[in-house]
Amino acid sequence: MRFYYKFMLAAGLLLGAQQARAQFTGTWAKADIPLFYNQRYQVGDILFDPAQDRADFTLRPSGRIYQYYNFNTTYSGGRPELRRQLLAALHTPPAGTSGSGYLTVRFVVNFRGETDRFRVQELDSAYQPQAFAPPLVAWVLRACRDLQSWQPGRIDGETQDSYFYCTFIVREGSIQDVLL
Amino acid sequence: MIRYAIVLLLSLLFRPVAAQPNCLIYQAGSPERAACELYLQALELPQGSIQSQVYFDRVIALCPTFAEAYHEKSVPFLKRGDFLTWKKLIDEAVRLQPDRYLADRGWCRFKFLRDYRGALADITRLQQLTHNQPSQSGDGNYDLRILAALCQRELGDLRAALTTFDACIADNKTQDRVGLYDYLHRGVTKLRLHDYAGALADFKLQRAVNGKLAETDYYTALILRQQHQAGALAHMQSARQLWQQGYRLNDPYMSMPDEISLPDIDRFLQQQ
Repeated sequence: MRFYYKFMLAAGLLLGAQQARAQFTGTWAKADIPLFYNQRYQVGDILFDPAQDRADFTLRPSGRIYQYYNFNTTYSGGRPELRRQLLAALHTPPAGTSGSGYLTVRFVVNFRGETDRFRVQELDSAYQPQAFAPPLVAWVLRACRDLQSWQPGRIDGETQDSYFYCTFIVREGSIQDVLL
Repeated sequence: MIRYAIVLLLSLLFRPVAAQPNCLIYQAGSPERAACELYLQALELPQGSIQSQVYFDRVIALCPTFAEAYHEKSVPFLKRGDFLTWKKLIDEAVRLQPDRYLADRGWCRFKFLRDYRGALADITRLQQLTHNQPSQSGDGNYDLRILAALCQRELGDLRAALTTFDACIADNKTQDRVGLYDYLHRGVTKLRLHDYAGALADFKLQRAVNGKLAETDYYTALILRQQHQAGALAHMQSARQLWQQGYRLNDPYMSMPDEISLPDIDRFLQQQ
């Protein structure tokens, strides 16, 4: 068995060498970008902001925050149940709200199933930036913060931190649907 | 020794590769060739890493008309809820190669944003470009004509949806490639039109295509109870069992059309 691993390692090194040689000789374009990979920099990262985030929101010491779809971070009863609860909470909008489009709320579900680091993206129906009325955004954020039954995904049996987002379809100031 | 050689050979044969362009179609030394070769390297990097994004930017700088780079760069933004950036990038890919990227944009508008009008417009335009053969959805589950039918249904035009379902299923039936969930979705559409016999017939066809699916039993039970026929409880209990075993509509990113939840099933069972 040990021989098998050595053999596969050698095969891997040979393949890697072939690729490196191809790059070096110009069969592939040479990249002058260093090939190290820093896991801390990802599309969609939310950096800690003391002005709006809880200082006592605990994350795993590794600092790695996964995406919900990597390992099935979900809600008790599944996504249809999460949708049902949000729609029930967002039945009657506050007075004076208007506007239509997409309101996306992105946040972190930590390894304990708690949530924080909420951020919003507000778009009109043509995917262009716009600002909804602040009471409407606050109302939707409150409904998201109030959700208590998160089930963080697991890796090797250990729960992990992950990003999650809900997109709300807004029609003339009311929440028409939640996309999950 | 022979065993190791076979393992090595198989591991070489089945190395996971992304859909890669053939860079040799571009003239040696041309910006397209350089962009294409750099794009291949970008695909090796983890999706969404800043480094991969830098690579795609370099590809675009080398060749601003290299549509694949705009598309691939857009994907992590879509999956992580930044629809503003995704839309800008995918629009550019569609502008450059509409016949190739309209399918992807339409599918994603449907799936991630339930933008039925936008998705239907993209699929309709693609049908015009492809002689009514608009290919499959990104996950391979749906003929895009089935998606068009689902868009029509969600926009409220159930009759038009049914016509679209019928045409697509009839076409695919001749080639023995009816989709995994086509009959289920058409059945649910008939259920909404109160055509209960038609819906039950579709659910029966669905079982022949894909025998273990909680949703088929769930919607069958709804009809049987509504019609005061026997078997509703047995079907719902079967739906519960299948759901718990994982035989259900499930997608890592978003809910699927006509997907059900365990509380939906339990509410029905409590009412019995």
